[in-house]
Amino acid sequence: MQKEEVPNLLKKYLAGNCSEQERGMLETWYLKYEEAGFPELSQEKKDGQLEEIWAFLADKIDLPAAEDTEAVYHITPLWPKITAAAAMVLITLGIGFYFYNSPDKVSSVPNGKISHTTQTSKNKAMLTLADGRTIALDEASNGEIAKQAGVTITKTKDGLLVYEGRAKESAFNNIATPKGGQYQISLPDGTKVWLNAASSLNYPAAFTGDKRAVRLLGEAYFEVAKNKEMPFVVYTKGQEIEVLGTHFNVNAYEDEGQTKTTLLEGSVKVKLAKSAATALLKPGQQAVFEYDHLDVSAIDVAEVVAWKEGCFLFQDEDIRSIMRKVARWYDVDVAYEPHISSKKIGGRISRNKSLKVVLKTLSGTDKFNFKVEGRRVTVMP
Amino acid sequence: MLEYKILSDRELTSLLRAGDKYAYTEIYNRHKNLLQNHLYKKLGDLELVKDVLQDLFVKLWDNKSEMPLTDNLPGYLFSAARNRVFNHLSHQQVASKYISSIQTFINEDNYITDLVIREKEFAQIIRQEIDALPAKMKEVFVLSREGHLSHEEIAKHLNISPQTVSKQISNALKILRVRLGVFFYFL
Repeated sequence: MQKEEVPNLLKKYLAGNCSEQERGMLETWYLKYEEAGFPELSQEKKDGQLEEIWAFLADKIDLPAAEDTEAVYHITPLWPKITAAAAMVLITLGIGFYFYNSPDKVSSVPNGKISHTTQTSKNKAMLTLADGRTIALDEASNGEIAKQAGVTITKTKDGLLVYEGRAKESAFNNIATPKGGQYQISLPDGTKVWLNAASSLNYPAAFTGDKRAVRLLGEAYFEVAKNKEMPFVVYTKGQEIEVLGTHFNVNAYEDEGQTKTTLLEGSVKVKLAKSAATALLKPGQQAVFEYDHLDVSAIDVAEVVAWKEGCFLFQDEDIRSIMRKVARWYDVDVAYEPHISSKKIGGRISRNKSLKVVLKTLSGTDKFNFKVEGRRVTVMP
Repeated sequence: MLEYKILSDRELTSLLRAGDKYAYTEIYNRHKNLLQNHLYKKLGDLELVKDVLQDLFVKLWDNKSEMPLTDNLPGYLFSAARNRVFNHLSHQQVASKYISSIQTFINEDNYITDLVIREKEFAQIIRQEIDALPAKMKEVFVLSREGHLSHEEIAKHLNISPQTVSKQISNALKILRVRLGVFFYFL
């Protein structure tokens, strides 16, 4: 056989056209052939190559994160955790305050029954792993709190959550705050998210593909880490927000009937799912999505992000809008008697105060009175 | 969510054919090291190995629906690797060392025509790759399965962390599964 024929023989083999004898020749050669004298490679170098291959595959096929990609990120509470003992003291003080300051403007608050509305521990959230397991982050003790296929989640003594291990099967994790809860998360790309009460965020344990996509229910403030190659996209009901790296707040509570996107820094693009409407926001602007249209206006951003700083900040808001915020924070239901004033009011109240203090402050406007029965607050003229 | 690590190669293949990305991921993780070692021995160039392995896995995804439902997934992957090597060689210069090597080999006329014997030898190659496991991984594995020591005891014995022990054992188990697969279907 001539040398020139060897490449042709290989092509024939690959096309499946070899005779049994030709196939035997090539396959036996392959069995015996081994490169001589090539350098022994370190495991690190080999692993590095395999990781590179995986990165390529993950990119091309849109796969979850590689097994060998260490995904380490943190979930940090907004405030230092207040101990149960301190909580008890506050509750006691709250009740004491009630007895010594019988309600004047806050009419007919029944005795007792207000301890549950005294805000003490705000760093409440529920973490749901890809396999469906849930962990109460405020109750979890320090140390290892969960293992999900290859990933160990540890809570440090500072209340920090650390993900360690391989994010391969992470798919989507979910963090949800109850009414009256709030939590801060650092996503794997460095983006910080403050989650307001009664909200949830669905996020991958590692970002792959051509965009960083998360899904939000409720309200959150985002400080998105810059990455021009991979836009950050926030999906809410009927709307998506695309950003490259910026600070903005999204209020997408279902009971608000509107989705408000407020930009503090940088630029974001707001797009509706069911129509071609888009808006490019400048800092200080807010896009309001309602039904099928999108309106952009300039607003005072301080009001929008006051919640993040631990405040209610109302600027010319009607009582219903105010009470929706109060209800989410103090976990109460709100009812309205007829003939409630539609007058708009403003003011700033710390969210660390008890419900009683907040209602008292509101009633100080002389426009409203309140009745508290258990978890139910009735607004009266 | 399914625990993919405990699935057999056949189950993984079946899931992959249906387009399951996690099954694909597990197949990659389970077999990447052996394939890499093997290709490096044949090609002697890590960059080239990377290209071949990458190409092999891209094609595995692209052609997933046509994959045979085999119990011998390592055999399938090694055959695919061999085809990629042949493909690479078919584009080589006639004067290259590979072509010369094949030429010399053919002229010596000592090849095996019996496919079954060749396949057995091929399985032998795969086993050798398995035996070439990192020493520590082997040691941990033997202590666990034959010495019946707990992870904690092994960790103390070898002065490593229990996490390392768990990881080594899970890696060894993966490889053992490959080994059993090979024993079952080649021997």
